[in-house]
Amino acid sequence: MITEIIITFFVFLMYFKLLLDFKKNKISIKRFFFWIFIWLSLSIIVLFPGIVFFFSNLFGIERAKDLPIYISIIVLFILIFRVGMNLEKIEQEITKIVKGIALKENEK
Amino acid sequence: MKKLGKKGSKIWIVIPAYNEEKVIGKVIDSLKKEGFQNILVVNDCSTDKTKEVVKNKKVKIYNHIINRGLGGALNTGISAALKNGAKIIATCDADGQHDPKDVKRTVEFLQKENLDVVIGSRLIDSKGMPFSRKAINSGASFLTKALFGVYSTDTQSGLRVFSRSAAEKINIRTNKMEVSSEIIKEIGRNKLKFKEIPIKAIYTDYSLEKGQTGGNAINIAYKLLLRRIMR
Repeated sequence: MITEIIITFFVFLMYFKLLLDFKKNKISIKRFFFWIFIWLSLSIIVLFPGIVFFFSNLFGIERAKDLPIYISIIVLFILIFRVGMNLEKIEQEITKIVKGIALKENEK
Repeated sequence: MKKLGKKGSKIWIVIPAYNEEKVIGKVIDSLKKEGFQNILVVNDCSTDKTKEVVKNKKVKIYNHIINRGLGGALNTGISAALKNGAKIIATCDADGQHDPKDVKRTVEFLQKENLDVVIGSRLIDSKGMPFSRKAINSGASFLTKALFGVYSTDTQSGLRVFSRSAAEKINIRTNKMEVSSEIIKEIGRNKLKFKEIPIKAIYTDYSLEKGQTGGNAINIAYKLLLRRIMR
């Protein structure tokens, strides 16, 4: 019972922080909903552990313990995708620098 | 248009170049012969003598210290042309596949019709183009229409002419070959007045070697899709 209360409290803290970040324009609306979804699912799983079994049955996974592993793989994919996006952003930034130098050099 | 050849006519030709020492000199000469005086080359960190060849031709050169690809080079070139006070900016491939007369015609067409962007399409009149190229380009047109809502028969054409206001609005973010489709996207986003005119492509073994290959096209399609999903 104690664990549930602590985690629920923690999730609320995270919500509060998210809201603050969002108001200060530190995070995009996409990321805002992404994290709300993550924390919400965590609190639901903690409060209603039976739901894990429900979902593992739904997806035809025989052992409930396998579900988190499948989810992890999906999360890893998402993370790799995001790393790719970040890399592209860095590429664009490098281009900006290279362009700036090219333009400046010519002014001389 | 009489003023085409005079200095101060404010028509700038932008040539992005990467390892084009063999042909870029001829390309610059032929453009000059056609009356274009304001030419600038973006040397995308070539490893051959492109830089020296261009310098000998007495045209402006902008050097990238790291190779950035076609998109990066066009980005630099267009900004440089704007800085030089260009009223009209034409981009032209460095491999010699564009007839300078076509460049002139495209610029004149933009002026006459008072358009924002004109693309010289190699596909309206596609005689002489190898079939594999035709197929790649049709695929690209279809994808661009589906993603960005602008139909162009030749999205991958290197011959484009922009008015100053259009060049200021177009925001290039991609570095590599997919910039061609990005420009189309920007035309749609900014609702620019856009037309195509047929041009001839001069396909030599040299220019074929350097252009887009099938695998490259798939890669571009993938990146464009990614971008569409993420924005």
